Amino acid sequence: MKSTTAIFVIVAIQLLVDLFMWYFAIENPFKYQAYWAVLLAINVILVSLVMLIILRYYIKRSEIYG
Amino acid sequence: MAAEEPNEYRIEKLWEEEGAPEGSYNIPLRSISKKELRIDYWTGAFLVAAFGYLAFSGIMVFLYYQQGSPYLSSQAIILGVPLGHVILTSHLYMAYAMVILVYVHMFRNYFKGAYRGKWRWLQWITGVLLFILVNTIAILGYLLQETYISVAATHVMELLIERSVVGRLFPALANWVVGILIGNGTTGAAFGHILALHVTAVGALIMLLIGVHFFLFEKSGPHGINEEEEEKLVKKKEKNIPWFPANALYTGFVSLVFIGIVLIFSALFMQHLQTGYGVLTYGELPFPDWYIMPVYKLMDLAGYGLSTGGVPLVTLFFVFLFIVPFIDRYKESGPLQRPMITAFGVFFLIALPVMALWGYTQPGLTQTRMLTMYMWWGITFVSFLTVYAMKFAKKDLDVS
Repeated sequence: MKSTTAIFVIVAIQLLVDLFMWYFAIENPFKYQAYWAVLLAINVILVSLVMLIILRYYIKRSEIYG
Repeated sequence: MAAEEPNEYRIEKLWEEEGAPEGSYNIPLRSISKKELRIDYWTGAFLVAAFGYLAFSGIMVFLYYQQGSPYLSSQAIILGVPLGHVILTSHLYMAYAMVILVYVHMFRNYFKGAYRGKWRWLQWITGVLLFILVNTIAILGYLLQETYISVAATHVMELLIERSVVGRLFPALANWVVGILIGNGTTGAAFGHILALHVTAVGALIMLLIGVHFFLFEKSGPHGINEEEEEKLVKKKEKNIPWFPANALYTGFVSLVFIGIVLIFSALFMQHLQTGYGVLTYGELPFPDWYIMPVYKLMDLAGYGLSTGGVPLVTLFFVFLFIVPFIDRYKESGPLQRPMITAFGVFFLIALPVMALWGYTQPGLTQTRMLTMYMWWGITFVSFLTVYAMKFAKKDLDVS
């Protein structure tokens, strides 16, 4: 998969996760805070994956072009 | 007076080097080889990430914490603040993670001999200071809850300061330190002082020392990548990759995964606040936090108690850590090539969990001097025997 496509897919998943986070925070931030925190963790890990993809892309590019 | 230059409103121009003094836009951080993109070289980055998250979640909690009624305000954060329970829990678990990581980071560098080298001794000493400060800030945070056990711990700390050798020799100094810790002893003053120490004084010291520690790391580079390996990399024409973006991205990646994992743990196992101070309960045995447990049990050992043994033993542990770079005279730097140093490390690795487990199974039960001696010599024997056995086994293997 191309790096840009992978990043688009990750961001799309993040937007979906955000919707659920928004719902839990609005509906009942006491009862659903554990779900909210798990979703936040997923979101944070997805951001880290974006960073990893950019890093891999950067290293590959620097190997080719120096 | 020269005419003023007109205002520039195109923000993107800010990044242009034109007209700026030479070197202004170079990030003065060390470039790395690809070999270094390994998690075990990044234990320090995890600690900085943990500290960053603790500062962030700490500010969130700080907005609601009241030094006049600490326990009730902690309860209010859990019961009355939206998402408060999970933020408070993640603050606690990240603090636990930071204490574990500070041990991992220290022991990794201890066994690898990373304190050996031109400026590395100084990096090690700032590291030991950070190790002490991280434990101090963790304990101060634990005192802030005003639980039954934390108030008891505050009294123990007072006694430790007053009845220690230093306290007996310099009582005015001891009074002054107690005054810094708890003020005049009323709830408001005591928790105000502890809060100020936890949030500002110790926090600021940690930030300052992290800066010095990191500067020294940049100066010396990562330990373990020696000149031979670097020469090989040069021969292969592998160039180092600059700090930005490679190093920054990798640090961001590992830090965020780590924060995510701690958040998941916080969501799955929400914090249960222990019994508050002054509440009448039966059949409940309050335990201190796990990282205090070894010291807690050390105080029970007969003849090695609060004022005579426990405190000097803990002090000795830290003194040993401080002087390690100066007493390690081995020529080679592998763990088995420095057997005496490694054996001491193994001793601490065994002694710390043993003391903690002993504390959980027999809290507050005074031990006989004989049992204490059996245990210390037992651990000493096991640690030295294993290290030297491995050293000789390796020697035999190398010969054959």
